[in-house]
This record gives sequence, C-alpha cells and structure tokens, in this order.
Amino acid sequence: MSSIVQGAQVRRRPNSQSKQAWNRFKKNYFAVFGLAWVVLFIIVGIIGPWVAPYSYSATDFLNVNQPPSALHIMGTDQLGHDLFSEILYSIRYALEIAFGATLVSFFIGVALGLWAGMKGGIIDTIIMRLVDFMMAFPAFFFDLILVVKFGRGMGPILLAIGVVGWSGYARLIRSLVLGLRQGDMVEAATCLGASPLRVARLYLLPNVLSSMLVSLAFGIPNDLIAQAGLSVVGMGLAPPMPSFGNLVAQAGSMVLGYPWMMYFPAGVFALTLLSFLFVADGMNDALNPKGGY
Amino acid sequence: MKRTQSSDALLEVQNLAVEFRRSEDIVHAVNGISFSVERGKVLGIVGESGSGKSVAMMSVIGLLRSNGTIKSGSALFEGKDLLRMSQRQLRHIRGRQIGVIFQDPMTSLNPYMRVGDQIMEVMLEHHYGTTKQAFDRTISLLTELGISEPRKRFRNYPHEFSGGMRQRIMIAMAMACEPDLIIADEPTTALDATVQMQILDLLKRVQKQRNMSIVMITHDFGVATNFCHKILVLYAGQVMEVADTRTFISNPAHPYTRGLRNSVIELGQRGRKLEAIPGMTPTLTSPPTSCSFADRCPLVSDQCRVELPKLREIGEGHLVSCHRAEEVISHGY
Amino acid sequence: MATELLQVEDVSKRFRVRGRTLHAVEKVSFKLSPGKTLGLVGESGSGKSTLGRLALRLLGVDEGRVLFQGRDITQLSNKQLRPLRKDMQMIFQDPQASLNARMTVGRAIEEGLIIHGIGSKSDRKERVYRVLERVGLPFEASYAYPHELSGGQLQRVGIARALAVGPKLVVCDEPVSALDVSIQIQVINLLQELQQELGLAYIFIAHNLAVVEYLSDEIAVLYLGNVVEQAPAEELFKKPSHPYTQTLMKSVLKIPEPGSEEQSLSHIQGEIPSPFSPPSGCSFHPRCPFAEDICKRKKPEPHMVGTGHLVACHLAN
Repeated sequence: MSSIVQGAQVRRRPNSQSKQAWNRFKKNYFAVFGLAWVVLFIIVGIIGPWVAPYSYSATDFLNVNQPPSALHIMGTDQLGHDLFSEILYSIRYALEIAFGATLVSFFIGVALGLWAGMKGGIIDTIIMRLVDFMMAFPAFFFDLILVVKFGRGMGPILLAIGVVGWSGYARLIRSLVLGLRQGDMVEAATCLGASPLRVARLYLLPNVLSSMLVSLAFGIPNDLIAQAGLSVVGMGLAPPMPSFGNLVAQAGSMVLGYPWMMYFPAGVFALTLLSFLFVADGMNDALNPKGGY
Repeated sequence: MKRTQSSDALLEVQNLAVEFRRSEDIVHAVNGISFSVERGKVLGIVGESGSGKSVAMMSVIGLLRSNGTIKSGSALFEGKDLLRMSQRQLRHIRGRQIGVIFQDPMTSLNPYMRVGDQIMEVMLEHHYGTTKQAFDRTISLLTELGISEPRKRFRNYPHEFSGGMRQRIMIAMAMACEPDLIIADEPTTALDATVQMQILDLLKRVQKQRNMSIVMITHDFGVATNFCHKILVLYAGQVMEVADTRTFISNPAHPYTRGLRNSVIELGQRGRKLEAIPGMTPTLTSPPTSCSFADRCPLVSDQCRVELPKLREIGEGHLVSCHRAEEVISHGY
Repeated sequence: MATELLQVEDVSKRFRVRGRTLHAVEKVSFKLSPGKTLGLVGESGSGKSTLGRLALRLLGVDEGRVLFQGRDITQLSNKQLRPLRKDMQMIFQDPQASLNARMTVGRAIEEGLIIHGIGSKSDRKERVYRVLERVGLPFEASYAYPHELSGGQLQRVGIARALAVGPKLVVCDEPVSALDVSIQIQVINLLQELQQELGLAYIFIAHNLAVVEYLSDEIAVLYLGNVVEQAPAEELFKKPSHPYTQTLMKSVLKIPEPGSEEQSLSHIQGEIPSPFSPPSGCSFHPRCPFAEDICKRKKPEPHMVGTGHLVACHLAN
C-alpha cells in the first residue's frame, strides 16, 4: 500500500447541495428581504382580486382624486377608482405577464441554445444569426409591432414579450454548453462510453441549470419593465384593466396636485423590481459559490 | 526565538500571522513566521499549496486578499514597518523599491497596452526619470533581458510574445526602477522546462550584476536548491526549517524537508522505490498546538502530538522546528 | 502481431484554426504490449496530448490507423466504439475539471459500470467501495462531491473511475503535474502498483522527462508534432541521440551535490516556434546547437541507431 488517506480527513457532506445553497442564500439579508416581498407579491397576485375592497372598474365620481383615507387607504384617481384595489389587480396582471412571458422566452431560449451548443456547425450558425438579429432589433419596438398586430389583451402581450425575449437565454445556454462540451468533463464521460444524450442529460444540463435559474430570475424584472413600458406609450393592457404602467402613466399628469397617485403604484412597482433583482442576485451567489477561501 | 539582528538584513519579518475568513470558519494560513532577507542574497521560500508561502509575502507588500487579515507581526524594510503603512505608502514602495514577478505573466500584463509602454509606465508612475530617460532605460532593459530588436518589440502587445518572452517583460517591469528587492512568486512554474532554465539563469545573472535581493517563492525543491542562497521551508503556515543552501542539501534536519527532498524525481531512478510522504497537507482552522506535520511524520513521538516544537538553532544559521531534529541528522530515517 | 494491445500506424492529425492549419501530430507510429508503459514526453505544442487522444479515438485521425487488439478503431462509428470504451480509459491532468461537480464521487465511479451494464445495483456499490479502497480512499468518500476533496484525493477518484470498468489500456495525461510534490509521489506509486496488479498498459504523457523515464518501458520524445527520438527507456537514458532529448535531460533540475560548483542551468537558446508555422527542414534546427545546412533544407527521416532506438536527426548515427 502506498499511502492511506485517513477517513477522518474526508469531510462528510453535512447537507445536500440544495440545502447548502439555501444556507448561503439565507445569509444574504437583501435576498431574504427580496424573497419575502416576492412571495408576498405572488400571494397577493393570487388572492388580490378576492380581497380587493372595490372592483377595478368601479367608478365613483363623487370621490375622485381623494387623498388616502380610511375608506380608500391609497386614495382614488381621477375617475374615482380605488387605487389600492387597482394596485391589487395590477399585481395579478403583472404576475401573469411576468411569469408567463418569461417562461415563454425561457423555453424557446433553452431549447434553441441547447440545440445550437450541442450540435454546432450549420445549426449553430443559423440559430446564432437569428439570435444576433433578435438582439440587433430593438426589442421594445418589436413588442409594439406585435401588440399592434395582435391586440392589447393579456395573451397577445404575454406572447409578444415572451417571443421577443428569448435571444439572451439562448445565447447564455449555448455559451455555457459550448464551454462544457469542449472541456475535460464531457471528454471523460465520452471516454466512459456515454452517449451524447446521456452527456446532455447527466452532465450538461445539471451544470447549466443553476445559471439558467439565475438568468430566469433576472429576466422577470426585465419583462415587468417591458410590460410597464408598453402601458406608458399606451400600448399595454387596454383600460380599464389596471397595470402598473397604466397607473404610473396616468399619475404622471396629476403628480403635482395628487402625488399619492404616483407614490403608491410607483413605489410598489419599484420595490417589486428591486426585490426580484435581490433574489436573482442572492440565487447567483448561493448557486454558484466560488470555491476556496 | 533567539535572533541576532543582522546588520545587512534588507527585509526583516517578525512573527507574522495571517488569517482568512471563510463562510464557516477561519483558516490560519500563516502562524507567526519570522525570517530575514539579506542584501544581495536570494531567499527561497519553499512549500506546497496551502503552506502560506505566497500569502506571507503578499501580505508583507500589502497585496492580501480582502478576506484576509494580518493578526500580528512586523516587516521592517530598510527600517520601516511595511505592515504599519497605508496602501498609499505601500504603492510608493511597490514597484519602486520592491519589484514583484508573478507566475502567469499573461494575466498580470495589460493586454491592450504595448509592452514597452507598460515598462515605461512603472518608471513614470514613480517619477523615476524623464520620459526620455524611461524610454532609453526600457530599451536597455529589454536588451539586457535577451529580447532581440528591442525597439521593434517595444511596440508589440503581450499576446505577440511567447510565454518565456512575456516573463522577461515582467522581469523588466519589476526591475524598471532598480528595486532593492524582487519578490518572485513561482515565476517559472508555467513555463516549459527549457525556458524555465533560461529564465532562472537570467534572473541569477541580473541578481548578481545588480546585487539585488530576491525572494523566490516556489514549490520546486530543484529550483530552490539551484537558485537560492538560503532556504526557508514552510508547512501549514509555520517555518519548519531555515538554512543556507549548502547545509540544507547536506544536512536537512526536518523530516518534512527530507520527505520533500526524496520527492524530487531525478533522471536515472528507474526501478528505485520512491518514498512518498503519506497523507495530505492540513488546512488549519485553529492555531497549531502541536506539530502540524506529526500525522505524516515517520519519526512521530508522543511529544510531537502534544507539544508545539519551537524553532531552535541547531547549527550556525540553521533553524529547525522539530523535537527530534538531532535524531534526523544523526540517523536519517 | 497478436500480442500487441495497441498499434498506432503513421497517424497524423491537423486542426484548422481560423483558416490556418496546425499540424498537431505528424506520421507517428508506435506499438504497446499489455502491461507495458509508453511514455510521451515533450513541451507545450508537441502534440503529446493530441496523440494520446488519437490512440483512444477521442479524436479522429486524419491519416493512418489505430489498431486496438488487432481491430482498426479509426473506421468505427461512435456507436460501434462505445462498447470498446470500457477497455480503454483515460486519467486527466485536472481531476476537478474532469469530474461532474453535480455528481457524487461514488456515482461518478459507478457511471461507467451503469453505461456498460456491469453488475446489479448492489454489485456496483460493492465494486465502487472496493475500487475506492484500492486507490486509498475511505468508502465515505463516495458520498462526497468533488469540491469537498483535495487535489490529491480527486486524482485518486479520477484513477478509480478509470479503473472501475476494468480497462486494458489507460492513457494518463499529465496525471501528476497539477499536484503537490509530496502527493505526486503517492500517485506515481499508486499508478505503478495498479499496473503490476492488473496488468494495465499505460500511455503516460508528461512534460517532465524524469517522471516519464521513471515510469516508462519505452519513451517517445515529441517536438512540434514529430517524434524526434523513440527508444526503450534505459537505452534512451544511456544514449540520448537527438540534441533535443539531450537538452530535455539537462533541463531536469538536479539537487546539486554538496560542495559542487554553481553551474549555468540553461543549455539551449530560443523557445518552441509556433506550431502553425514550423521551421523548414528539421523543425528543431533553429534551436539546435549542432545544426548544419542540411537541417534547414531537409526533414530528417527516423532511422535506427540501436535496438529499437529510432532517431530523426541528420547528424545522429
């Protein structure tokens, strides 16, 4: 026997990898705060319409432009809509569009990116030129065209934002896969006799998954902004359906006289964007820890 | 530890201790080491990964990573304590009085700047002569370091050079302001064998010509014994043995030193059984209270497991921290 | 013929990089018998790693052929090749990079057994523990993830993974150069013991001539994709006939004898030229201290200078 490594020197893994990642995540206060807000946001998005004190379309011309009060805790707008209820509904629609659109782009992006990275050659070239085209073309402008063409409903907006936003994911996945595919790990697996499908499933996918989740988390606030942007130029959800973009755009002209109309929706929206970014950032640190000390 | 204040010490490090914060614990990377670098001499710091050899030198010149802290110690350089200096004061000394050469020149050179400009930059930064003088000096340095057509090469970018040539550029930068001391952190590890020899010869030549001091950080026993006047062996952030190279070769007194020496494979050893040091290098998460090498030592005794060996002098300038050093010398193992 | 495990015949490999051609390996031939070690030694750009991958057909050859147990593997499809993989394995320089960070060590070692359908689930577990123990790791190591182990332990895992499937040929690509000095010897000793126990044939790739000489029965010295000298290890060490081999031998740092005079370390000028534009004639001539006119014009053919001792140099005889 040449040498024996003492059993005691192999540190027993205290927890699974996901548990370790969660432990790292927990130490980041911003991320935890963000996560709490995001969870609240999601819960409100689900139950909001039921707990909303008023309907978003209930106009009350006797009480327009009211400051916050016991009846309307966030005040009312120029049509007498209860701002609090409007925000609750906005959250629901924002949630649907953000998660829906992000998932649409994500799946298109992952599929094309994996395919390009694994196959290489002409398929890679075609997909990457398509990515270049999508990136070169102003995404917001593309959103506008699609919305104009297909209408201002929930579905069309969701698809418009989703279909436009996949290129970043595709590019990321492809570069990750490409980097791994040429590395020792894949060569070692090939050397063991693993088929390309096995390599993709057991070696490539698990290793790009964490980066993919992080980019997904970063993608959500982007799509929220895109949605709000559409509303600001009057191409978002058709009124009277409320959305953060609509609320902020409306409040823009009234901000001098009735500032709460701006403060509440803009505040909630900003906090939400920030929370998603904190969560994404926390996930990035937790899932891709740098080794060593 | 008994230590005579040598008058010709250029750098005198005393009782240096460095810690690193990790997510769950603290790594005691350097645990109270002392050594001195004499004027015009080459000191080799030998150790394996995690021995603290780079950390010790980098903390002396203020290049410690942000999660590291210097817990104690002093580093007197020409009478001034480097560890008490601000980053601003240290910047003034680094590059001007202390040059540094890193292992991988490609990552230490700026890829978007002509190499000549990078060498000149060092001198201009430290107001070491006029632009004209800096240029002339750059050309003469390049010539001296064996780069042909220096005026043409002055205008090339780092990627247009081979690995060995890039390392020569790094040496030129380190030497630009005629420093008294050069710290070379594994300068030849990334190079091919034939090129490694060229760079070592070159460093040796300029060191002699200018009577500079060099601290050579290396894991390679062969490099240390062929290049240095004095050798310091670090293990788990502690000094195991210090001696001048001759004593070191003829009379290594620490079992770890012997083990390292036996680990050097030379030509013509076919069929000879190689003696490996068993086990692996420890990472200390608490300060050492017994000999850190005990678990791997063929001569380990009960005393080694309970008592931290002191660094003691067993011959002139020959310091060793081992309870059984005398036995190592008289019997070998 | 039938006794040879591996025959590599006149293989060449070129890479096209941005419109330029790199001659990575040119017309290299060697044979390897079971239980023997062939050492490939050379500096960066010598093509030694490429040659190792050609022998395993992890890369396809452009010319020549590779016979494994008498069967030409250069013409097989990837699918036909897969069942043969369990007989030919590889150990990598950087074990961390070659292991899947999301797979436990035990699972990584078991992977080859699963792929080749070896044993039942409990047999496989048993076998993983046995091979771990054999490479000097406790069975608990099988529950660890790669980042929880040290470099030396990871290299043992790399060895265990290669050996679990019971190969006949193992290509070791710089298996110790990333390790600490004291760990290098452990791994070298382990590789040697395993070879004797299991009758493995090694192709041992390294830049350090002393390590290669220590482990190999036969050595091929490569320079810019060409074999400049090839001989049994003892013969090569006693009678190095190519100037490049002689230089490499002098570049192995010796610990100086006590009381010896300080000597110059360097024995050769210049560095390895770019493999994209190798020098004319003998590719070593710009650095060769003995170069003559013919070396610039004509590429030297390998010729015999002793029993099994091939040299590609105009001046060697």
